[in-house]
Amino acid sequence: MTHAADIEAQAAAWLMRRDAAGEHAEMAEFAAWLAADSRHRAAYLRLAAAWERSDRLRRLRPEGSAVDVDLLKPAAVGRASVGWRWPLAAAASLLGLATAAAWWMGLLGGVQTYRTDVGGLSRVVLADGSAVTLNTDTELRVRFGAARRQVELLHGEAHFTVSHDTRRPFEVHAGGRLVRAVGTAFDVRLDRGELMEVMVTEGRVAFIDVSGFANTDARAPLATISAGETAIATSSKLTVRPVSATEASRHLAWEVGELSFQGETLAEAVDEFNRYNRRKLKIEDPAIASVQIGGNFQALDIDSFVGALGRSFSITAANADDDTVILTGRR
Amino acid sequence: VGSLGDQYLLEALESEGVLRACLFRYVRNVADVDELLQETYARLLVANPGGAGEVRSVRALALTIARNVALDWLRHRDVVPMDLVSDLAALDVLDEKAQVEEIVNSHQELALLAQVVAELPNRCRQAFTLRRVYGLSQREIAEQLGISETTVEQLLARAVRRCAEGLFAREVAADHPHSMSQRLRKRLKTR
Repeated sequence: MTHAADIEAQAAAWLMRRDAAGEHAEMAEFAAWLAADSRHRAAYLRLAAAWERSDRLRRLRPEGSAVDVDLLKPAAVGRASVGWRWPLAAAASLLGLATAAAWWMGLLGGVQTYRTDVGGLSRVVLADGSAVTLNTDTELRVRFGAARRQVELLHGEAHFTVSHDTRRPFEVHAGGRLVRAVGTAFDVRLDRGELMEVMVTEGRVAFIDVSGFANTDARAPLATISAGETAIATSSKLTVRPVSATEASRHLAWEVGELSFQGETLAEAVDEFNRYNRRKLKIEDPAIASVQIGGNFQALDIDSFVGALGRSFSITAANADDDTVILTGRR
Repeated sequence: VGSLGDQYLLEALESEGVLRACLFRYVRNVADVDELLQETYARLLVANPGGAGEVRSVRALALTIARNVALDWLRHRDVVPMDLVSDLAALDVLDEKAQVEEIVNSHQELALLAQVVAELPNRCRQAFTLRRVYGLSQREIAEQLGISETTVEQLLARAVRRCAEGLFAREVAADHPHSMSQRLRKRLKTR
């Protein structure tokens, strides 16, 4: 019986040979190897999936700079987080390793404003060690006091990973509602200043309607939202429902600059892309608006998305001007 | 690619940490876990649960197969570990509880990948960086690094195996103080 490690080594060799020579090279030999043992196929599929996902690393390429073979090299042995080159440090901060920023931010006091432009993505560590990721076109005001940690979401979307502090609840105000947490992780999105969505990925938060009330402590929560649930609030209604693991990770794909669709209509997908780009997509042809879309896309890469639409749905794109791309069905 | 079995396998990769933890309970040896995991995936590829109907939970199916693979393996052993029985009682805890941690982890994938690459041996890291970050072809990489194309192929092959390990074999349920993964870690350390 061949050992797992040997099979995996063979699978890796095949994968890289096909990466070098194209998928049609040595097809017969490859097919024979695959068919010889289902463990071969399993090992190959697993490595191919890893290879495909490693495509994400492209995002770490600094824009407009020359090729650097040591881009991801850790600088000094024994000083893991100090002196890393920026992309790795940026990536590491996604894991919550970067806390240095917290110190000097804390010294500033008062109100701190954070903002991203259309297409922007920014990660900040607040004075208490909580981390906030700001999605495209987002503005936040942060004020930390002795009794509470307050954040106001003026527009856009942000994901909060709140550091635990029972004495000072962490409050996110948005569109007349309030989400209160002690130590947890959740995502808040405010659409057109009205529709608000809160998805909780860790712990639980209280959802409170505070519109028109000065004393926020006196208001009883409308609902408690727990990990694995999402709440959608319109002006008249609050709905809380469970989200599957897949749905949650699709929802949070923006944190790595991606949009993930699974059965959304083209109209919805276009709205999403338009959140991230100054160049807007426009559907000219009502017949294609309800076409259902699936797949993962880079939020800033309209062209790849449009290309995929052309290949899969025969939808053509034309540049109306520098800022508008018109989508029509092919006749 | 594209058959139902392939789909099952790709989905099961997301639960590889749980599958490994499950297998480890029976075999107590990381090298054996690798063998049995591959066998589990192989059986999953050809699994045909209840005819043509779709599987409600691939994770549950994969766990069932993993247990069967492990039990088959145990039957061929002379000595069964003493504390196996007590661990079996806790088995079902793994099934659904680790789910939430996996949600949180999936969007940290880029950071995870960057870390895997940073820890690769020098040449290996450079070749992989050129291929995946900068999109150079294997031939271009060979030129840039002054090595043969065969060597590039071998370096990348090694790197992709480490990526798979980093992406799929990751620890589960980090927040559960009594979680299996932490107990596993302790056990591995005391070895």
